[in-house]
Amino acid sequence: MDTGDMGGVGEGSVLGRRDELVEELCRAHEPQLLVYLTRMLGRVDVAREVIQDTYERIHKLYRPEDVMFPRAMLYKIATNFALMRLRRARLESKIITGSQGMEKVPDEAAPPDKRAMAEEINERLVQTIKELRPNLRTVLVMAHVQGIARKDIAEQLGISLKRVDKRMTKALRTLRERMESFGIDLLRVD
Amino acid sequence: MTAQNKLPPAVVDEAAAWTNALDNGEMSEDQRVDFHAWLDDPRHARALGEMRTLVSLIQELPERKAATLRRMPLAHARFPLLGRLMDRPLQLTAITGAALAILIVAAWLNVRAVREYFTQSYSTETGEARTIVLKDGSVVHLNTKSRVRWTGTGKDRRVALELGEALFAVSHDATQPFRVMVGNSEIRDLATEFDVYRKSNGSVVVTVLSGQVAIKDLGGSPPAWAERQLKPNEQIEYSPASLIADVHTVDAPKSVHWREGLLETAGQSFAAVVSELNRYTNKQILIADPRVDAKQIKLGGALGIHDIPAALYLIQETAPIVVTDNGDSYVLSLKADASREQLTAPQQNAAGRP
Repeated sequence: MDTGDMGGVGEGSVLGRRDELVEELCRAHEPQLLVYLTRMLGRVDVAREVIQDTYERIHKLYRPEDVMFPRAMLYKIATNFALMRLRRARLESKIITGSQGMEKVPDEAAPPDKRAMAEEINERLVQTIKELRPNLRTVLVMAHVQGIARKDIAEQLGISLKRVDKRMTKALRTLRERMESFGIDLLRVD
Repeated sequence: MTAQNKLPPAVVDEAAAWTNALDNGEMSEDQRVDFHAWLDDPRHARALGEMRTLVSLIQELPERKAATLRRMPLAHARFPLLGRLMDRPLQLTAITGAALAILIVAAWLNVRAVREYFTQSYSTETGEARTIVLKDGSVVHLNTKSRVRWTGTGKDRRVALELGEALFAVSHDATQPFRVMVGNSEIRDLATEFDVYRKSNGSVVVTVLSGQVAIKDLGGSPPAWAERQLKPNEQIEYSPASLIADVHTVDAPKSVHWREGLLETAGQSFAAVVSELNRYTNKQILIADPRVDAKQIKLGGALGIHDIPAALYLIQETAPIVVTDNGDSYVLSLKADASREQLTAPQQNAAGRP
């Protein structure tokens, strides 16, 4: 295992470090997560509850050494809780059939080559983004790597907001197709 | 169980579009109803989950990899119309393309994006704020009434701050320092986030959020002051002739609250707050009564800067001040002699958040 320092460190401090990492992860993303969930659910109070559920889940199950993409994991769990709430609210009477397989939080020891797989996913992703048509790539990189608001993207590129959205949709669709063709299952990435 | 039960392309597209809508812009109540109805189908929910993870992966790329993406050239709107045509799989021959291009350039030079592409100069109007990406992938947030110009050659990265205030988030490149020229001074750094404010009276305020920068006076020889190094949460103010405030500690995130459309008022004199607010409006705010200054009014908290009437209303509510709208200016007087009509509550939320 990669936790070679376990022997020398007391159990307490290992736990402490983990809690710290959990805290850090949650705090760093909370404002954005709240906006995201509020847009999705339409209500701030429900969004807050979902965040609470998410944090509890993460506190219980998060093992930093097993999770290569903490942000992706955080959003996945939050999205799942939000979807569950929506489903519950909409289909009170109907029986919820089959989980969507979206709630897999690592519950057993991760395969030892996890780090290598993460590296490969990142490499494939960057390569695929680089191969996008410049129009599509520019919009995607500005929005998600540089964090530029969509109105500013439209302005700097001299295109309409609608066009920004169109390019973004196209870029995401292309990326997803490519990732699928590499055999990367986005639902199981963590 | 590699989810190879293929999703129809239309579903993937819809998932991408909804992901987009969730990430930016407002979602109207009607749209949300549509969205929730769309989610009823479990395949749709799955597609949305996939897209979310995809976006997260991009946002979470390690800095080393993200930097290679940032450094790639932007597909600039050299010719917006042409770009639009190219968006579709339409074949334009080189010649018609070129001819079209010339025509379009002439017609579109009036368009900000095209003009900026040619001049490499980016500006904001009074009250406006925007974010731009420079050639090297560095991001610049421009505050009100500001202008930067990219003056780098292929070999060095150089930006002139010609007017106003800008917050720079410099793209990492160890081989090429990033330089901001402000009048006769130079601010140099490697990978940093820092704010430069060129005040209308000629003095310059530099605030560092992360990393480290060096500031040098290039005016005379010997320079008026020796090179200074700034670390995170440090600030300096200087004029062409001298240091006004040598390196001191500040709460840097607070001093760049303008990025969120807010002005921090705590610890500032009332006159300073008013003069800051005046940067964001062409309709000037005047303190008519000298007693206002003498009163040493202290405000607290943050004011919205993109809705000046709302900010003034908030001041009127919290301080012994009456705001009168004179049509071409706002006049502030003491509440004691408040016989004139006061500013009425604006419809928007008084905190002025956008």
